Amino acid sequence: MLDPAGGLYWPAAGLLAVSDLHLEKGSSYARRGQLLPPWDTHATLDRLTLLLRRYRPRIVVALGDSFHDSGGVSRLPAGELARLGAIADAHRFVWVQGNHDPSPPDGVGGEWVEAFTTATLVFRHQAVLNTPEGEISGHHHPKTVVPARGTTVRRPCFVADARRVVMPAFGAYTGGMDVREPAIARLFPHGGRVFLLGSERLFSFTLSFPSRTLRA
Amino acid sequence: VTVNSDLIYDVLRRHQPDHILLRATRADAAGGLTDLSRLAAMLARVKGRIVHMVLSRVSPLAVPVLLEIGRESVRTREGEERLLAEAEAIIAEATGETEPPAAARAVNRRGVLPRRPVQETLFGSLTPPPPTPLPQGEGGSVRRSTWRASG
Repeated sequence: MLDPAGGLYWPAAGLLAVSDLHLEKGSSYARRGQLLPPWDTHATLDRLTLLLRRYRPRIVVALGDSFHDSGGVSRLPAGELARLGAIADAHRFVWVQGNHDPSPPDGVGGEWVEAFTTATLVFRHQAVLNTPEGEISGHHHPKTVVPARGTTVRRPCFVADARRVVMPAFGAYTGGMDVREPAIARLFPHGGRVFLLGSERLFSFTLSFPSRTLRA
Repeated sequence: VTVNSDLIYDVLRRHQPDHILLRATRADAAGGLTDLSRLAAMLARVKGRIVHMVLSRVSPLAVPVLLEIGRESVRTREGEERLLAEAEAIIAEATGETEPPAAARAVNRRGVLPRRPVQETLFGSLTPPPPTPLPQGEGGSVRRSTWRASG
């Protein structure tokens, strides 16, 4: 079940997955001289809290790149650290390893795994080309463009086929990659569907790639 | 930097609405897009001296203004979602995922709309379209005059 806020809820397992939170991306850039406003963690946790209230999951899976860099936890403001800790303690919280966060977050509860596997699904940060059916991943921050009335609308989206779902990034400052880029397109050789995030609902379109995109 | 300025704008507006970046943006918009101070001065000048009349037809002096409607648009999230919903519905109908509206099906079956002579062309029907209320969004008036020119 895909949520228009960018989460994925699996009712049978009581499992909520979110991907690419990129917490403390603002402070990460600030340290390197790119001054961004520091409210991104707050905004991201606000949105996560809404999802937790909506679905009341038993298990929460953060699909990697939860922190923008490995020092992210130490830069969390005390209030946000406490809030994240409370969320991690209130559920079975699974941190999946991502390329931005190769080591577990210190001082926040929860489990740390390379990939989270259930009987039917595997949750990992970056999709693997030849995987058995049932893979949920993030990493690519998929976005897509829909033409309408002489203009276009660009939104983050889920990309899915019968085999896998690639989730949009949940973090407040995260950009995106077009689904036609080979990195995403090659995961869906037979096309699929995109689900663009809206305020109240998802907008769904079929996705098919001209073969030259796949060869590129 | 790969950070979308919209995202920063949203986060700031929620958490620090008096931030200097937002004040600068507002000042830019007030001076660059619409000359707000000139507009404000004009409104102050005419205050109390405006006569509002509902006309029975478009006044000649209003024509240039009406034709400008839709030339500039401000994109909102709601507006974008209306566009997405429309695109989704068009594609779903064309691919047979949903049924077209009842009126369209009637045309399909009989070749004519009930009790109204229709000449079908490649570009649609030649019956006058129902009068569209003005102004309704992008270019309503422009489309109407285009139809008159060709029909």
